[in-house]
Amino acid sequence: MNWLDLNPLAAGDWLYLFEETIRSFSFWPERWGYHYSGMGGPNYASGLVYFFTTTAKLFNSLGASWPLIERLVWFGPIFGLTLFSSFFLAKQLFTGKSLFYWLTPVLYFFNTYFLLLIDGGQLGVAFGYSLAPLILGFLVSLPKNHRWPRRLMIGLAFGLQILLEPRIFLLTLGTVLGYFILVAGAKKVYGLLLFWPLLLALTVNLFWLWPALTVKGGALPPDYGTAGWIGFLSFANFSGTLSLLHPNWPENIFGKTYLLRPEFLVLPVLAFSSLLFINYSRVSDLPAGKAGLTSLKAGKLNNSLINNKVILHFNLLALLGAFLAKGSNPPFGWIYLWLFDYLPGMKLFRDPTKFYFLVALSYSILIPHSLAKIYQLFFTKELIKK
Amino acid sequence: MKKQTAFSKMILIGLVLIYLIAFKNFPYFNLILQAKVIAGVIFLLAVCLFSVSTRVMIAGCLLLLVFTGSLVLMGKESLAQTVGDMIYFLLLVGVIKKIKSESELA
Repeated sequence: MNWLDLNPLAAGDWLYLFEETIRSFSFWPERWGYHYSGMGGPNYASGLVYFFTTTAKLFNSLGASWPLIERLVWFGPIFGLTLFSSFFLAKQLFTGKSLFYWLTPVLYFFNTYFLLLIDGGQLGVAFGYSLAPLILGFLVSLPKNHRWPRRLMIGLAFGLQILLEPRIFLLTLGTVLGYFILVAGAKKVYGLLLFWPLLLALTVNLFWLWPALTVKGGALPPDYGTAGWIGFLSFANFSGTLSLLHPNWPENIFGKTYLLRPEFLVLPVLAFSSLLFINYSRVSDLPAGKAGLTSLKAGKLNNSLINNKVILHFNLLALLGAFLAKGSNPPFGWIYLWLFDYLPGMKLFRDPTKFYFLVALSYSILIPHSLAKIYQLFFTKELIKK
Repeated sequence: MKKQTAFSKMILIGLVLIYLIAFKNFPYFNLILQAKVIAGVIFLLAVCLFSVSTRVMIAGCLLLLVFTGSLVLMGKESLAQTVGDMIYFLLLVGVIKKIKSESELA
């Protein structure tokens, strides 16, 4: 199998680098280089390209060939980090002893979006995707543990995400802010806790952010900002995004889309089933008589469940992600076009499938939660009907 | 309150019946499976779902979601898309209602 031997892995956007090419790379960040187009050109994805070239040069100088470098620097860490970070987030959110949170890494890894990211060679996006649950997991535990080492780790993780994929960073930041507003009640203290890690993340990226934003030629090619791209790149339809089904699944041929597969509807049905159990989550929600009659102790019930607001947050996130991932396709496709024209930063999302990340993240939390609740309902009889 | 419970049950039974009819491919179903008729019925159901409890509303959405799967299996993709769009907005309303009630509890 290609993954385990030392044959080169290259497909879609991923490159094969010859020894001579690697040797010609600079250790220093380049704003312009002869690698970027036939006669040379600006380096638009500066942070990602810098990481790509520098790590290749560093490992090559130690004697590693490109097939080994791509496994050591890219594929290995991405696979490991995706599994570990989603598991870490699940551990932070599922506070009970439920084994269902082991499903979180499975769902976060083995979904059509992530598999096609890897298959298409979009490893910068895949790296950002793999870091996101780790950051969210750190931030969820930040109010409990806001010592400097923890803040430093969050800052460095954010920094690495900005370096490799600023778009996924923006989505992660949006998720974090949504979490703080909805779950933690938008207290000022959370803003302050978030300030230092963000400052650190931006500071370590200044070496490429500053020239990208100030040097003539702009941060993006001129035609990237036109809304015409949206219609061209809106491959997914609404049923596909809601089912976490990538439009190019399974062949991953650019532009070739497929009809909805009904079996994928199991995912939204399970994910949104979590809403049905919300009122069961707290003993205080039960009528006084029933709460008194139940043999369950409040502590046991509370320990086995995620906070209601966390569930609502991820449900809202999934719905938002599904709506945006379809881009300008109906219904209300004009909303995406309007956001693209007027919302600052939205120009970075000319490919709407990036929003699949929000759906994948949400479903990987919601589905194990729903299954845990269904299991409780049918096998342990722990839930009490209102 | 009792009226609302009975009404909720009626809606759920209606949704289950629609699903069962579609699933078993009732002989006359293709005659009534005109996109506009089904979309109209689902729209009426969706309006009714607004007047019941949030949990029933969400359960209704999930049943409709399963129903769209049946429609896709029967080759009615565009109808499934229309029904799916309605489900989405109902779910969104359901989540917002839940968030509102949670924040009131807090």
